[in-house]
Amino acid sequence: MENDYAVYLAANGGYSNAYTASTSTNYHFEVGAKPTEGAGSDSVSPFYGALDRFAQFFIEPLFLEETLDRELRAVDSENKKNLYDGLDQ
Amino acid sequence: MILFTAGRSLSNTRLELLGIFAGLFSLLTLDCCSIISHNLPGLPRFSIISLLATHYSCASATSIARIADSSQAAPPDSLLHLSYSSRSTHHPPTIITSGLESVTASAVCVNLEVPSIFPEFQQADLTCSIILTPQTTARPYSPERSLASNKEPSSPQAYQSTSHGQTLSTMDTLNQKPGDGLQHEGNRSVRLITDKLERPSLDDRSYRVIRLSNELEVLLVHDAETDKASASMDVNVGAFKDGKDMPGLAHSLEHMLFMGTKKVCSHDRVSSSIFS
Repeated sequence: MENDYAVYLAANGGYSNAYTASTSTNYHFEVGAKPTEGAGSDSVSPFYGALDRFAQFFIEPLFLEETLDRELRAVDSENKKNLYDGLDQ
Repeated sequence: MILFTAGRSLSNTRLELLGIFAGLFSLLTLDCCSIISHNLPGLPRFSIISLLATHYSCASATSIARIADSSQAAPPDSLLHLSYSSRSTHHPPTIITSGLESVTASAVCVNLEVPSIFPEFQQADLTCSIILTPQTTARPYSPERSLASNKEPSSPQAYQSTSHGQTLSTMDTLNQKPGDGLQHEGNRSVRLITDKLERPSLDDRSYRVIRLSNELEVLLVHDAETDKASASMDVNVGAFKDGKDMPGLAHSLEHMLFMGTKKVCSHDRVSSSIFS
């Protein structure tokens, strides 16, 4: 399911991002450390749910062909923008 | 002689950054490294030492061994960074770290770069981190060891593990307070590398370096008061590895990992369909 990760983070006051540098690629996220108000007192930190979804990136990404085609255009567009900014992509 | 002077003039300061670059041209190898070696004992504790060596010649292939030897003279509680880069196109470097076990530095990082023309170094950049605490032995780490399952690169053999790290489960590691007993959980176990990192006196977070069963090394930072939790995964490859005919490949992969995973978590609060 696309965007499950982003939706979960947003619902718990978090966000994620990533960058591809010259010699490294970094993926990161931030999320609320404590359960949102209204959740049961025994509920765990959203960090666990976020970490589980995050880990799936490196375990079984969907890698759909039609998505790839779309993202190639996004990367090309982002690169054209970065030509003005510097080396990092 | 220039290196010698640099070390001496800095040795009066309490905390210092000493960077030494040694270009190793053939017979100069021994001279450069012995200068480094003899100069280190004069340095105060808590030094940050960076030794960078580039090996240009086709003659001596044991340069890194000399660097490792010189590191033994590092003062206690110092941070030692050894970097070795080979430009030689004739000999694969012989990388020897004998003697690192007796290094007194509190943290040692070794970066090795060798030319990709050598078949045994398909992954051209070998990065080995050795993190040790004072009065303990070195704990070599080679991420390539697990990746190249069939044909191990020759250099990590020099990094045969001397680690006797204790084992503990992942969840124990997340929840455990420093000093708690360590537990073992079969193949899923992770190893504690250290929880004694040098840190600022006003920093009340606790730190722990562990190694997962898949050889990934993790730095855990614990802050009981924080409102936000976060995680970061750094992959040691980037856009420089794009093929000439395939610019943007690494960046595209980064984007694709955001485009959904096979495992669907059941406790969604919002339907993702409105976002797609």
